[in-house]
Amino acid sequence: MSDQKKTTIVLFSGDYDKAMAAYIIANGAAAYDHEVTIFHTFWGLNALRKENQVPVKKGLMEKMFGKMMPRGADKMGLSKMNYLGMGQKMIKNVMKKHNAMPLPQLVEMAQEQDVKLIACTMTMDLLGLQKDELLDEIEYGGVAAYIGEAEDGNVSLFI
Amino acid sequence: MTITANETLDAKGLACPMPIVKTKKAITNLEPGQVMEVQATDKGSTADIKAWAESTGHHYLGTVEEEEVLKHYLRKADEAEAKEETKHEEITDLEELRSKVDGNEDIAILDVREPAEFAFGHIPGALNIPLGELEERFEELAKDKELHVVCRTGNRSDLAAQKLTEKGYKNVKNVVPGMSKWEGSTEKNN
Repeated sequence: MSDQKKTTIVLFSGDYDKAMAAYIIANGAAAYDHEVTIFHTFWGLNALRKENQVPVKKGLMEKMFGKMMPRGADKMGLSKMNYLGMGQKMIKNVMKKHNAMPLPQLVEMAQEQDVKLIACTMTMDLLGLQKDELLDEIEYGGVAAYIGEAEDGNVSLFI
Repeated sequence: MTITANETLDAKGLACPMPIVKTKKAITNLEPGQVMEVQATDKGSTADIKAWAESTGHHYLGTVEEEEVLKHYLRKADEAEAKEETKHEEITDLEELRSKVDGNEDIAILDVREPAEFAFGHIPGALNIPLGELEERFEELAKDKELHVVCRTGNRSDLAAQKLTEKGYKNVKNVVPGMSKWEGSTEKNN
């Protein structure tokens, strides 16, 4: 048990169900005493957005992107059968019935378990997201930060 | 069957990955060698807990299902047990013990593991006194018989064999390595 194992996950998708899978794996790996990193890029960044609107200076394009993308993990849609958000509401009810943890709590739990959450700064620029709009206590980095974690990793996933 | 545990964790109603996450948190409160009972209703938890225990070095004892509730038993890893050095000189191997058991010889077997470990499989006819209780209970053992002391890996039984020799037991043998490699018949508590 001396050498701590590593799990690294790239969360590219901004879909509720895919992000849920990523965070379930992350929490499971953390329970295995792995050092876990989730690298959020492109639409996956939305899982880290704060729910409330944060006043920041933005250009027109960036404002539009900000409006069109889900604000926070709870607002993300399903990858299949979303039906303009109806599907997502339905699955949340089903999850409640089966006692599955909703995505925002999974993110919280991951932070409690010291899962390292990294936001990709290059795609943050593309999507016009700023640090103030994302959760506190996360880290920022580029591809090198991800490779640095993944090169001696044991489990590596792209979701 | 009733199995005693030092700690019980209620993970009933929780879905994956929560039983494992909770188990990981709870086991840090245990002393090495202590036994934890994890109650869960998630059907996947048996495979999960087993795999998790194997990877993290804890010892998965077994699972009992009672009215839809799965009760998993885990024993926290004890690093002191991993060392191979044994001090009690009289030892016997598993094959020798097995031929005596199969041949119905008049021998005594003392199993010094925790009751939960004993419950999930022990040599038929063995008496269970956990190492921690040996000091108070050794008089339950007959002095005139050839006494075989067994545990999981041969370390706790080594300590027990030394203690019994101190108490005046003459014919004490430590069984090595122990139940982890035992291939003979076993019994379970019901």
